[in-house]
Amino acid sequence: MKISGIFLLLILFFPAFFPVMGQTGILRGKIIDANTGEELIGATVVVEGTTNGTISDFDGNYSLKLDTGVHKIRYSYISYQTQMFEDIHISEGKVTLNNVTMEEARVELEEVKVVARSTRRTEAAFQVMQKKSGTVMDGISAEQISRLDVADAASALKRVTGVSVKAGKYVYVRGLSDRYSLTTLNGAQIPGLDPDKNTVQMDLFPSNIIENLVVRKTFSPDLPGSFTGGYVNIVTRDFPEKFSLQFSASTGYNPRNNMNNHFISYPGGKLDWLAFDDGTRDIPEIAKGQIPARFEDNQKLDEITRSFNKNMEPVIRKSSLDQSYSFGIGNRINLGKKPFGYNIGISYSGRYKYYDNGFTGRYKLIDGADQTLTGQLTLDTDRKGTHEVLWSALVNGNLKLSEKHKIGFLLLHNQSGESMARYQEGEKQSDEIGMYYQTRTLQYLERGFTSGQLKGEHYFDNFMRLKADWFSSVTLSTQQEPDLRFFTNHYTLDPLGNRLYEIAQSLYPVPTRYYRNMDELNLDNSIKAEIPVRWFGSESSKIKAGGDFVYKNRHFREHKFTFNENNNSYTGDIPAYLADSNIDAAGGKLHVINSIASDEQNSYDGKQAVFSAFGMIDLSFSTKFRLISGLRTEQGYIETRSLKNSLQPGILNNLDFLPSLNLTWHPVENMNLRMGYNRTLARPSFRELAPYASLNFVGDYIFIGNADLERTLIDNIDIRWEYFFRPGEMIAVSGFYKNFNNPIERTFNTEAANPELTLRNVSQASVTGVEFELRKKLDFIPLLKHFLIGGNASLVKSSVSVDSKELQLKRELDPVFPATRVMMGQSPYLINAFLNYANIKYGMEINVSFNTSGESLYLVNAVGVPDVYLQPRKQLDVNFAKSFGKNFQVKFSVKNILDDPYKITYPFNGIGYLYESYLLNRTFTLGIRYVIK
Amino acid sequence: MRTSKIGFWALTLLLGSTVLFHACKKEETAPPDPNATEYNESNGVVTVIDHGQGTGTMTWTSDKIWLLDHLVFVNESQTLTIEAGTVIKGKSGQETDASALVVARGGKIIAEGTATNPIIFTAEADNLSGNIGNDQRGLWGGVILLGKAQLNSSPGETAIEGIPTTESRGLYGGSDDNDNSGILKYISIRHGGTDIGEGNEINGLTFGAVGSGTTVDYIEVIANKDDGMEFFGGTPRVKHILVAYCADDGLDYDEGFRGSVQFYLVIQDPNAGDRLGEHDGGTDPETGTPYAIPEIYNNTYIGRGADAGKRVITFRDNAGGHYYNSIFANQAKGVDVELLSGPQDSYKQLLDGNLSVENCLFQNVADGTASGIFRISTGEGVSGADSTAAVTLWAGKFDEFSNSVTPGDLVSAANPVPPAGTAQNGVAPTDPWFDNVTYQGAFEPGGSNWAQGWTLLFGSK
Repeated sequence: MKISGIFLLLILFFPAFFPVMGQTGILRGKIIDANTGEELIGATVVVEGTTNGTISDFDGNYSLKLDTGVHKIRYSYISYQTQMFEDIHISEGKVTLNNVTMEEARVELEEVKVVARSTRRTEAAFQVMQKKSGTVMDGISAEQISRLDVADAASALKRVTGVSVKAGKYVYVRGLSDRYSLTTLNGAQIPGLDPDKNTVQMDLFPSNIIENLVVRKTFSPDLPGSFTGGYVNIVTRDFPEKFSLQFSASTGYNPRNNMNNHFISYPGGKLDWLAFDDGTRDIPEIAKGQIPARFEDNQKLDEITRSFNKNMEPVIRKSSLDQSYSFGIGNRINLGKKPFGYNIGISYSGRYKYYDNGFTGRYKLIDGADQTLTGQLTLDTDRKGTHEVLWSALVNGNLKLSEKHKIGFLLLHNQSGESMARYQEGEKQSDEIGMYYQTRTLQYLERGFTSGQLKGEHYFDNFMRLKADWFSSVTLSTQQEPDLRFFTNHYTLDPLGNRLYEIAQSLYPVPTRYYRNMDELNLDNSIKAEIPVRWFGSESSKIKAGGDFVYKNRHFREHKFTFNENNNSYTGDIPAYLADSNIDAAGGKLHVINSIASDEQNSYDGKQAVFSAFGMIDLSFSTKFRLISGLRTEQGYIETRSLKNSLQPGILNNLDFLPSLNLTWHPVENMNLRMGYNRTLARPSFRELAPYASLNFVGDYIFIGNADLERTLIDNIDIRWEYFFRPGEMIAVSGFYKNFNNPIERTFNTEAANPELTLRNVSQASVTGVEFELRKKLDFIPLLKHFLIGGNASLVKSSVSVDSKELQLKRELDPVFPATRVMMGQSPYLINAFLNYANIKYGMEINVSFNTSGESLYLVNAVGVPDVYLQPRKQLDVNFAKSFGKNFQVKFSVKNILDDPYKITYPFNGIGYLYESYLLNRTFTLGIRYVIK
Repeated sequence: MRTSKIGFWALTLLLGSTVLFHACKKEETAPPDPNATEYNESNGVVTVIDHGQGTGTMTWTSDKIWLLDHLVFVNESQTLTIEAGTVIKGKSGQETDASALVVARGGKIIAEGTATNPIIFTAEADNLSGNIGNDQRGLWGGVILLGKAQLNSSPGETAIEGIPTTESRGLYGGSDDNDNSGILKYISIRHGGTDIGEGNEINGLTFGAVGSGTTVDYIEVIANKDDGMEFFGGTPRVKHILVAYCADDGLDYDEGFRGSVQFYLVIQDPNAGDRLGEHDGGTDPETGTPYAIPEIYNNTYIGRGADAGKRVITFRDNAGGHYYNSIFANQAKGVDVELLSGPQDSYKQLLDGNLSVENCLFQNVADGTASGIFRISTGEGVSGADSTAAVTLWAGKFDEFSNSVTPGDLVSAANPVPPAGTAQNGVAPTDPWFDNVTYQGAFEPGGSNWAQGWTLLFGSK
């Protein structure tokens, strides 16, 4: 295949990356403050009894070239307890790691002797980070991601306490929708790719580029104020400690998805395998711009109608196996005597998804007194085939200009292409009992994400020991949906049982092709500075200040072509219907119509600029208390303009002050009790401010934005107790309460002829919850010494006011209709559990993981229709990994063992009327991995 | 092609900072006077563009052609007078580009054509000399009347379908059943019905909560892509209507229509059209009050023929209504009444005496039997026994309501007037608004065709 060429190229350049070998080895590591988890700058590392030594840089990192053999190393830092490591082995040409945690000295300065041991990589580091964080933090390390053997950030994130992922890509933290979470890449804000949402689609980040996924649940002034549920930071692999190389390949098989002779698809372009449309799906050249109306220039109109390709229904095409490859290399070399660390990672995957057991239904309550719902649309045939290609390329580098100054860059591109074909059929009772509806959807969704970041860290030891860091990030994301096709018709049966086919223009849209295109550019420039202060006798107190500027610019364009005719010539044969011979505007046969004004109305430009500044203190009182408090101000401006300039633009301009107070108490070693009060905000998305209407599926509501939306202010109260009783083990209990002022909620335009969804600010909402988290090794039972169990659980309760107009209307039918309801997408519980077996001696690891969440509100309905809920789904996965020698690993996994159906229902009178459902079947994946460390 | 895209990204990354300047650029948009209605005259054609102020109170004269550019409203408290013989055309285009004349709530239209000088609404492309066939549909929008009469939907005030809720002039509904939207007489509305937005085609003539004070007499709707006429609630009274070659229903009502209809002729295109009569009671909720119980006398419905599989009438969503003295011809299916599992539906209206089809004639409808013509449409969850009882009861009403099947063909699309001496079994209307006739169908058997001379279908100027 074509990818092999890329690999070949990389392998050719390969020798260039190898480190220079010598008669010596290198000792490297990081020195951190045991109390705060902060890196210690300028700590001294010396070979005992010699003058051979170095000091740690501003990241706490040090590097020392040593002769091969065993060494005694002394680590010291003013006012900290000196540590001596007596057994450091240095082998030829190798890098040895030794990370050191230093305690503040109390009364007497006494040396602590430690026997060198290697730390487990990211997981342990992550736990230290979590323990030492000033605010409530959760997350998942690369090590855990690898253990779960998941493909992308979305699948990994749902394992984090209090996090659920909807539709495979949208992150909900603590029961709060994407509106209340914020995703960043190495701290820099990045564009979401969904035209309708604020959020970043997490499935776009392959797991091999991720070092950690950090979820911050409480605000502190140095973070953006626009998150309330969680701030998700995707941290990419950074400065490598030593040379590493990994290559992995895997293949997956699901009896339904793969090697299926009935898989449905549609003809695409030549570059689909690279996740790019090659232009096959572009608007035909002749159809661009103003096209003539019927009887204006019938000949030209016919020519335009004929210029569209004729593929409007799925074709059966056998699917192949899933495949996935990744390659990564990282090293630290010297660039003109300055240490330079780099990582290069590329990955490629192609996956199939298919189901033929789907069901789509729409129901209605005819009368308030009815005990059952009446079907309006019941599509009992639902087949859907999707082929997804996702690739990613990442290059980053960091150059240490000196021990005090470091600069770095990152270039990342993620590209995803999803080709989908769907066929649905069933009765459409809302129009006529005995009327059968058939609809076909062909979609290609191409998403691209390109990010460039520059960053720097500087330490000025002569100037108040000021530490500064900055970054500048440019990200462009694009989402294209070229030639999204819908072809819908119905049939009825005559007394002989023959089908009478029809395309009823008045009942559902005629065959339609959409061309949608969105791009968004984000700039994020940030600078932060901190100086240590010696207050209350503690070395680790500091003052921090900084500011940032985030700018977003989005363009969304839609073009729509409908295929109309005067008489009904549809006989059930799509190719005949679309044939050139059936295209004749003058004769009232098939002709295409495009409404330029509608295209303009549905297209918009959005801009957002947020200037922020913050100041905060981070004070440690003795070693028992830590206080982080400060204020952030954000001046936020948002503007959404439809291209139809008579529509009201949505403009928001607010100056907000966001106070923050977080207190941590360490009653005993490795135990924290945290409390916090913080104010955060939530701004509407561009789409939500755009007052145009869009319809996604027949029988669903039209959605219309609201240019009058205001931003929401949220008061957050948090409390958390956590105890890291042994390395790799912990227990935590958290509680939170959030009060929303002016929350934005979905509701109805009560005057609309056909129910119309919109958004309005309602008076109040609140969310209350508790979270539990546990990780425990089972080595207290000798037989189970290789086992680790863990899990987390969240219980959340939310309440939001129903919009007053909607409430008035609903109370006409039901006088006791409640004035509040749960927030959209909030599950009453989320549960994750895992059992891990790791036997280093045999290089074997087995991981069993379980995930589920309670039912959540999926759709609020108009009068006479109960609301729709996403039902709980249990997922059980097992992964098995075995290493062979130092370099090889084989992985095998079975995912979705329970094959629980995906189900959305209208719960009514004890019955769950199906809104949508399907089954996915089990996926078996076999992979190999080759690693050099 | 795609490589240039990659290049563009690379460039964007390099020049990221320059984009900051772009951010500071302001875009300029400001039409000179955003609200004034434009009347642009050129070569005898006046293009009307409404930016919010409506037509104003004025007269559209017959010496000019008036061209509707997008939606043109007669605003509240304005009166638009249209002289006999005036031609109004609509620009082509669908959705946001659709053109239509909308008489908003509280506005009035006085459009009185004559039998020799009708007022014509048609598409811009129509040269009125036959360049566009009688079955060419969807070339422009239509005419919409909105009033203050009562609806049975919550909250009693609705935006007419296809007009966004942000346009307050699209709202209809109130509490004045005697509301008066003006006079429409001798009017021919041709080739309309474009999609006005989100899959809503415009009916030829739409009535949204129009009151009984409005005069509607001698109207032709021909070749509309949607229904001929649709009545959303209200109490309008309409007489002498010809609906021909429309792509959806002949007579459609919804949201609690309580008007009166007499002499309403529907002729379907053999190739297009759904039901002759589609009758819904309510929407949200279906059982809203007041119930839809209009009185309908002397309609003639001529369908697409046995092969098209279409219906004469569907009563559903709790619709009631009384048909008297009408002729139903040439359709595959007859009159359906909906039976649902709930307590209130169209079948309940039948039981309560709010639904009937009486003294009507059926010509080539379904299999020509009582149980073949009067059918029950059963929803899910209804027990077999209930369904069987309803089927029997409704079929029995065929004879009970004095309906009959014609011995031979009385009417055809070419000649909807029955021969003299036939179709005489009607009942006399009680309401004096109705013409006091006892024949069946829209025309006096053996008499003249009142649609002759001023319509596109039966010949006009």
